[in-house]
Amino acid sequence: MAKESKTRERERLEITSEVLSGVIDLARLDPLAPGMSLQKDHLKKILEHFQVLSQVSLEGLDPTIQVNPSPLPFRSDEAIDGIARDEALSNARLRTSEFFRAPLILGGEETGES
Amino acid sequence: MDVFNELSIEKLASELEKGRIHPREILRECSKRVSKVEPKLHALNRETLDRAQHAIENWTYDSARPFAGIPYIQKDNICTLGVATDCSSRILQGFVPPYAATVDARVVEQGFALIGKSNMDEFGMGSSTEYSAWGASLNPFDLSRVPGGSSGGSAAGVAAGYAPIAFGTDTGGSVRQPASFCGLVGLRPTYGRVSRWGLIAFASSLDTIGPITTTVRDAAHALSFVEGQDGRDSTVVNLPREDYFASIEKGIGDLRVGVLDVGMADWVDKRVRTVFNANVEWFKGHAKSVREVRIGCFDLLLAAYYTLAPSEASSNLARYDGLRYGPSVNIAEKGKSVDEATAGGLLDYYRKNRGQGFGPEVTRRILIGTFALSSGYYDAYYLRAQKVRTKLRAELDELWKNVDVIISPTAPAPPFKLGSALDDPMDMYRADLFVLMQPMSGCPAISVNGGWTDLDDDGFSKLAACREKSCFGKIVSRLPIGLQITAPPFREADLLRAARAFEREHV
Repeated sequence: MAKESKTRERERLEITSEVLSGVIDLARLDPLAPGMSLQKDHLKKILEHFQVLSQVSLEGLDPTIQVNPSPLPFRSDEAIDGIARDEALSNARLRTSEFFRAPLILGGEETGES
Repeated sequence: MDVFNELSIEKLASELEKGRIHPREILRECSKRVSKVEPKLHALNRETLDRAQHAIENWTYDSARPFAGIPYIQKDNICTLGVATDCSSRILQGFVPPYAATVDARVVEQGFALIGKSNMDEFGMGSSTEYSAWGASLNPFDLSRVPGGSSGGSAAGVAAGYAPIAFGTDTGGSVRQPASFCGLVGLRPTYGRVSRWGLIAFASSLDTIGPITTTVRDAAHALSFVEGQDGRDSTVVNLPREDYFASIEKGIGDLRVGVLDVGMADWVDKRVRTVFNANVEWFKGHAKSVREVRIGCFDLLLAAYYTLAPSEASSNLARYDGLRYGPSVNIAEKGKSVDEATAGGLLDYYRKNRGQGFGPEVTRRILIGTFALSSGYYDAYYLRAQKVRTKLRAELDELWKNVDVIISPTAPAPPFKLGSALDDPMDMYRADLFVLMQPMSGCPAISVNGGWTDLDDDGFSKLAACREKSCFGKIVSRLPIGLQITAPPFREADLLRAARAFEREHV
């Protein structure tokens, strides 16, 4: 049974082309960018190497998120100077007097419009 | 003594105090080296000599700021007020920070003069500086080889004599490994010692900022003035200030030294093994005790680190969408029809910007990280990698009961040839095998020059950019090999004195 569940686990974690295409989409990267098919090959090899993580027992261990205890210290509840609006917008490619200006983008997959 | 032959902030400060030199002479000498060598070396993304000139204009010696007037180099992922900072990436091209990173503000407060922003692997992802969008930096000891990465420009600049000190960032070895490849001292402080405010994030639970210097004492000085609490970074641990100089010359007669045993298998270059074995013998003659130590989960560290770091990076770099900063695909103007570039909608616009803006290694790591964090794979990869971190810390906690420091080579091979590790990404990742234990556990570590290679395979190493005596005071035709010393968290005092004891008898 243990051998069967390991086989099932391996099949579930198999890195297929569909999986990789899904990851590219999630990462908001361009599937048509030059070199992306080579990236897919590299990724497959790298992730297969990383399956060594599943080959050892890590039972009973809690994950480490931060190496130091995080007390989240509070500061006093006083307004302090931050970055001025003009400073924050100083690198904007397009701006109004108060905001970053975004390009005009209409339609597309997220709105269901063609 | 010609102080310009072996630049050191401590020596320069002493000369400044005695009135024997003026900062303008230092800057003139360093500028000469930049002009002469930089066209070949490409250590800097931008030179800031005018700014440095301005910084020293009204200089007078002040014992409260003994290093005022000395040049420094800042890595190009550390925000410098009013000086472009682009992480060697197209997606941040032209970004000029409206604020200074805490580390940079503290360096400027000491009166250092910024001479340039150093080249790096894009967003800190790489071990050779070849992944810079602006082209690779070269190793001053051999122009056909890499200076290491990702802080390769910082290390190359200090090794070439542009400045006696640079700052870099170390997420997975990126201060220590280039320091090793360029014959310098590179210090990774304990995670939580030095504020990360203003460091453009790669992997937030692993990133640290550390100095690259020519001497251990200089590294200690640098740590002293950049460390400490910062209201803008809640991960900095509140600790009393330590005087590293109270113990730095004490020697190591009371230290118990662990020698990292990783089998020294085929993947460690025989030249590195030769130098490291000699280093071990030195420690045997000077330390209280020397014993071999093993890390049981050592073989998992590469997979765990290269799961965790890209996962955090995929989150940190999600903000770069081309909407606010940097170049982007052509956009339509208000009132005009939507152009081709944006016809596919917002997500398509993001994909195009990110596809054009990120280089291949950053793209690859975002993909690794996105995969590891995605539903169905999170438990098998990301969660397990975090558990490896816990396992490592438990093993080290046990080891630290019996040893005070652990020594190992910094890198498994001498500086490699340009282009030799680009075909298979795993080749580049394996170069980090000795430097991952520290970020994964939060421990501090330092790399010092352990020795030199014998003559290279092809007969000799090509002589580098700096043949003149002004570069380290000696002409070299061999490659540096780094010795790494690791200490428990927040034990930089022991780390620095062990490094200093070794350096005293080897330089």
